[in-house]
Amino acid sequence: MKFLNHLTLGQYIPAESPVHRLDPRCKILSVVLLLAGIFLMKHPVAFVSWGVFLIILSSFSRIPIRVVIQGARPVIILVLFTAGIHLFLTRGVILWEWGPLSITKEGVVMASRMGLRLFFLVLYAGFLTLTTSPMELSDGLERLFRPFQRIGFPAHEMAMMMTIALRFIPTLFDETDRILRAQLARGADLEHGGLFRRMKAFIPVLVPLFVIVFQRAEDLAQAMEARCYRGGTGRSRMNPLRWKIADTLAMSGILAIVAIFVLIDMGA
Amino acid sequence: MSIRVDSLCHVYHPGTPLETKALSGVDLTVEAGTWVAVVGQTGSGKSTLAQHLNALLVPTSGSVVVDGVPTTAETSALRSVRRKVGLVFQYPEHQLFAESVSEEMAFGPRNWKFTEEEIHETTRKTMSLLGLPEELLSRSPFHLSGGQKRRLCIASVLASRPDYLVLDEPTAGMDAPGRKELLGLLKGLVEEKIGVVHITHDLELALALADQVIVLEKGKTVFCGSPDSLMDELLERPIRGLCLPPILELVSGLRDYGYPVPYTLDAEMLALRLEREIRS
Repeated sequence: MKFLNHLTLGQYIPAESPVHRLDPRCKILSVVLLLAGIFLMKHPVAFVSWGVFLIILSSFSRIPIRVVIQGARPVIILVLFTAGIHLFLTRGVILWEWGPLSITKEGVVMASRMGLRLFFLVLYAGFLTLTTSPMELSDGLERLFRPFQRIGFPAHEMAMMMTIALRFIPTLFDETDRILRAQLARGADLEHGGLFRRMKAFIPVLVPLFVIVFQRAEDLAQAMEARCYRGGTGRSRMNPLRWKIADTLAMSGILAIVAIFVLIDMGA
Repeated sequence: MSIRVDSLCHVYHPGTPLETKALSGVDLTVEAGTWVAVVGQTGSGKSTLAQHLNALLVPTSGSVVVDGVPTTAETSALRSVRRKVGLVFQYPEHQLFAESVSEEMAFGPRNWKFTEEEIHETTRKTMSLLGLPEELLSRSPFHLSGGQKRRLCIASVLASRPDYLVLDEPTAGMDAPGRKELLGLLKGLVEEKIGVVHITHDLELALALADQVIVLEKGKTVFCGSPDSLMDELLERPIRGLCLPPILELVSGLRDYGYPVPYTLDAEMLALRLEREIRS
């Protein structure tokens, strides 16, 4: 019996692959490009090309496409909801009508476009975290945001906060799982009853979780202080990021593909 | 009246890159009124086995049958299994949540639909059984000492009057007197016909206290039998992942030096026999 699904959004799956080896900055910028490309797409059928491209990417990175798609499961309701709203609320040529509900031709187009956009956004964004370890990710972001430090943007602090938050997601998942089990073993019933009763039933899970979170935060703060952590100034790193030729090639490839896709879509 | 585990296998995250086989082909029978020790190193599958005993995990293959009810059955049956088999987790911070000790104690019994009167009575009984004074009842469980927290966790599970009690490393991090007291108490539960399953990595405790010992290594049973036969076997050949308790190590050394002292876990008895040997 599994109480919490561990394979969700933001999971990193280590593997030996060209995609994993790329510089995180390259991957972050590429994903930004891809997301922009997905947003510029208008034709619902054109999204097939994004699907094909995703399959190619996943075979390059040695991550089964099934795992990539699984990552989008938590947002599937949001995708359907968005599509539903567009389906019923877009005005235009009416195809079908039932009482106050009506579906228009424009609605069908909008719904599939918005739904697919959201779906692929999540898939491609998830692909970044699947192939980039949280450490690399925050290193890359810190480096990318460094120019903004001059105007007072706390790049290092943001990156550190992100690293810590990401690092503790799986830990807290595990803790929650253990607490759930401990309370279920004492007969807690989390599945029956109305909304209010079920919310109340979660108190025995949430209280220990909060206690543990605060305890961990304090432990971590102490451990950081014991190692003389004083913020980002003058801090050197063990594995400095290195932009390689492969990164330039990958970036140009992605840029070319996004440009071609968008141009074809605009022409169609 | 028994828990029967039959060629139990469990696979975590089947069909994903994180797939791991935690248990393969484990057999075990826990009779009411006996003490079974499950020994193994970290990662040997001890805790996974423990969670199968009260249906928090269900077998990937094989079966776990509690008093005739298999744990693969539907939810209502699972709840009755959980009612029968109390499971105490290793860390108190994973279960303590209530505003007061009395609320914490009442949590289990209330979930099992005990009446207020029964709750009051079982709380009083189990608290005194575990040596927790009644003035603690109104205190917050978070303000108790480490040892008291641990005992409260066991008490709050026992308050539901289970027929079996599964404890995951109940003595980890306890001082010597506290440990001795707790183990004595568990012995008392066994005499009251409760089946105790004691998960531990401490071989000496298992040898000294259990009626039956099962040794796990990487999810497989490497030994299952009485403590005496385990001791015999250990002296004959090393078992993977286990080393002799210091006192047996000592006996073994003494015998090599020509003192025919018996294999025992009782330090006092060993001292007496050794004294006799030296004098003669």
